[in-house]
Amino acid sequence: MKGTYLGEFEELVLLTVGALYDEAYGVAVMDEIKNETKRGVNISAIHSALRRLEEKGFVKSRMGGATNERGGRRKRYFVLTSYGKKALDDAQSLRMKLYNRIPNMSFGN
Amino acid sequence: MKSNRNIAPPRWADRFLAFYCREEFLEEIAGDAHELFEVRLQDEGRQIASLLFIWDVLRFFRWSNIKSTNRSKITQLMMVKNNFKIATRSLVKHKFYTGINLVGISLGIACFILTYLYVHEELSFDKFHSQKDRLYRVWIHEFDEGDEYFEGVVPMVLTQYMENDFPEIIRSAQMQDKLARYQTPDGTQLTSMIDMVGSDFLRMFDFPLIAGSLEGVLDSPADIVLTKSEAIRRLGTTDVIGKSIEYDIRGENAEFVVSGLVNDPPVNSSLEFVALISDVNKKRFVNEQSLTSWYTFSTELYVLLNERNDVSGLEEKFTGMVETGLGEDYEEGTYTVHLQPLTDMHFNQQIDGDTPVGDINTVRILGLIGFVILFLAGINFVNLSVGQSMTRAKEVGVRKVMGAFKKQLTIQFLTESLLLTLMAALIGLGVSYLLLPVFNQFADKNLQLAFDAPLIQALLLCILFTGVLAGLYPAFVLSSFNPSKVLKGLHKSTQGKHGLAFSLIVIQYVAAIFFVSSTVIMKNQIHYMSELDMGFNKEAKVYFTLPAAKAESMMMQARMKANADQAKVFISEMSQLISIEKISAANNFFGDRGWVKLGYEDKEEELNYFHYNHIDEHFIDLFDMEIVQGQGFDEATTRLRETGMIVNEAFVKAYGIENPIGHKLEGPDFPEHQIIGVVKDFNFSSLHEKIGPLIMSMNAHLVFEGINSIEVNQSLKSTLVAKVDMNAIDKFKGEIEAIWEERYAEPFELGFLDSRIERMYEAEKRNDAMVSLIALLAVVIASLGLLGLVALTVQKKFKEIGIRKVLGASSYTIIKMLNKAFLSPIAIALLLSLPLTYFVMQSWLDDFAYHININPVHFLLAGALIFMTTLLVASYQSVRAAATNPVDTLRYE
Repeated sequence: MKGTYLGEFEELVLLTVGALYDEAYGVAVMDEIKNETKRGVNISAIHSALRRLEEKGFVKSRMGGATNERGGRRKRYFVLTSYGKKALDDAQSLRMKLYNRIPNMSFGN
Repeated sequence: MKSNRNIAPPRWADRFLAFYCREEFLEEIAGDAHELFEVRLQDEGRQIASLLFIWDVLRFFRWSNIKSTNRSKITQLMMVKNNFKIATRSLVKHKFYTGINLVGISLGIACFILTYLYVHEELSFDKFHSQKDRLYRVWIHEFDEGDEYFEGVVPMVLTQYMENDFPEIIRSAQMQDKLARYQTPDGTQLTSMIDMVGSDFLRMFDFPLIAGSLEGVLDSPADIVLTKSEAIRRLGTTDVIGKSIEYDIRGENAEFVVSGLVNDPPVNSSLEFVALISDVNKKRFVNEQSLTSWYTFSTELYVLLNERNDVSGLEEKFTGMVETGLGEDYEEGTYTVHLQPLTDMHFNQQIDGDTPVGDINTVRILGLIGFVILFLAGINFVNLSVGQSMTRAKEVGVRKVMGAFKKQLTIQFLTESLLLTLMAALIGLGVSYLLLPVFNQFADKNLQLAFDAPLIQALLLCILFTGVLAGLYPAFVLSSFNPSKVLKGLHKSTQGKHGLAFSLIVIQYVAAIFFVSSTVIMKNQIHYMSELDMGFNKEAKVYFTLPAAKAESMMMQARMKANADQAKVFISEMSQLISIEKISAANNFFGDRGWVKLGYEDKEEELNYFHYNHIDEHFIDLFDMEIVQGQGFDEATTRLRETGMIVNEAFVKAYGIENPIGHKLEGPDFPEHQIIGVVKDFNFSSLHEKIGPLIMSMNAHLVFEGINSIEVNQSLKSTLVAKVDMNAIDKFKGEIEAIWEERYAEPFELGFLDSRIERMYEAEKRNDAMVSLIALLAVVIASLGLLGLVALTVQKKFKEIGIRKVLGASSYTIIKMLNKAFLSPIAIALLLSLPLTYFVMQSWLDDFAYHININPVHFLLAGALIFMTTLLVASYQSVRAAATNPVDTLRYE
């Protein structure tokens, strides 16, 4: 297993996968990120990130059923694993810990 | 919507995706891409959707997505790493052979790098000008009194015609050296060569200004453009724009204001200068005659042609200009103006200009030598690898059994040779860095080892050339072994391979012997020249040259006379002040580029040539020359000193004079004169030429009245030669210098005659040193190769030696047996190199009028030298082999 370090973009993708729950596949994740962050992302970057996350064990995937859309090609759906959830929790708590240490003072404008 | 459904993304992009994408990812990737396409089709239209689809496909082209179509490619990729590992191991394991190869190839590469630097610099001369293809130097082809001249220096009068009269010429600029003096703050007198150039000069050539503006930079008489080094030398800074600077040009103290700064001209520039001033100054610094005469050659002139670049058309047009310019002196075809491409200047030795000229033959020979030495080193590699093949045969067999293809084995062995060459290249680079100063001295160059594109190219070329060429043969031989035979132990080195090794060794030794015997011959010739009786005594003589005296006219005899008179006065005043054993003055001097050559028409209107020197009465006595007939000037009456001439034996012989004393020249215009003495031949030019007929007189008028042709190569200033006591030379120098300084502003320089004469043969000495070095390299490389081969043979014959010894062979017989095998290629090489050396060295010697003859002794000497080296090298191994205890070699059988 590769290192469990979670990059900024990976974290974003992982969060999105979690948020979309059972509907997380490439294009959906991309759209979601676009909508939420107003950030232009290429689909290939999403794919790479998802594959890396899967290798690290943060998500797992399954192939969906064939539909009439996309020329009958199946989608690969991703779901958050508990390990992935834990990684998100860790990241979150680390952030909060540091955030809380910001002294409550006036940032005088 | 339905219509949109049928619109598909570009098919080629889809196919490309299917082509590269891994099977397991293809469905999802293609699916997502198509889905995006469909969405975009509705939102943004077909074109944008297609473009974005293509973009997506390209972005999916990532390492992790690319399928591996051919598994063996991956294996081969892995094998590269493995090959490296095996190569390193095998190189480390066979330290002895690796060492030999490394030393040989790195020497070869060092030699190659040095010669490459030289060749590259020579060939790059003047190529850095962006307009080089349209830049030309104007030169004049002149026939005068039967002599032909190629003048790269042209009359200044031409400059005014170029741009004005010929629309083909866009720009033109003259370039004329001016000796400028200046005083340093501590009062020392120094000189700089300043060039007076046309105002377009910097627009024609690529000498970019680093300070100042090109606009009008050389328009006013006070403008001066300095090079960086001159700026630092004179003003101590490069921040010089607007500063004033003084030079003394032609006795006039001129003040200039710096209007521009340029980098020093690069070493590969024919045009050299330290400072540039504008030619609007020409009235000030050039005499009237030079400005208007068509026969006073005083400046280089460059032109830039227009896009049509029609040289021959323009040269034809020049005829009209010459015709008008010369007026009634014009005679068709005797005075033609031509254009020489700028890039032709460096190697053209015919056209006589102000720029230094190189020799294309030296460049070719050096380039060739670089390759030859590298080739010799490569031969070692081939020989040793093939020789080692026995040890590697089992490895090859096992690999083949495990399923290795021949190609893979070839690649493996090539990796090995490339790795070795790469290491050798690094060492070679270091060696060449160390050798560079020595090489520069030999080649009379100032080359730098800089890591620029040409050097890197050379190195890559070198590594590939050696690595592949040297590695290819062993790679193919080794990889073609039959595994079943090899593993059964049936493999035998065939006779053919032995033959190859043998002939390669012969080639190496042919080269080594060639270089060694050439060195022997060159050294003999140089020794011969230094020992040769020149016909005059050069020992214990010092000389100094007086500045040019003011003459009544520019006529040559007037200038000679003025100089001689000045020398006479100087000598008589000097003799009153200090005691000098012997002193004499003459207008031509030993070590000059050849004495004045004159010619006169006799009754049959045939031109008779002779050399001439204006001497005084002590000249012959001073140099211990021998008068064989008649008398010298020292004993002659005043009248004979005025009308007499002394000729040399060559003169008497050349013109078939039976009774030389009292003989007169047959020209109609000579004043009263007669030959009063004949001097024994002495060599007054270089040993490259035969001694020519010579006339010497104390009165130049005698000969100049009657002659029709003059050829002068140097100034006619008087040179004073004194015989001195070498132990008291410092005192002498001080005394003369004091007298000199009272009279002349010029710096005083005292020279020694013998070293001046030696300097004439500097080029030969440099060649000799260079060839010696190459010979040494060739011998070292060949010996290394032999050392390796002897070692291999000894290794193979270890058991044989053991058995022989057990059966009673003495060490001596064994050494003899081993050495005999290696001496035969040398004997053959010696025979083969004979004609080669003879041919090449004979043509080198033919360039000297006085030379040694090639003698079998030279070859014997060279052969013996090589023989001894080889014997020493081979014996080291064979003695060791013969001394081993047979028990050690046979015990484990």
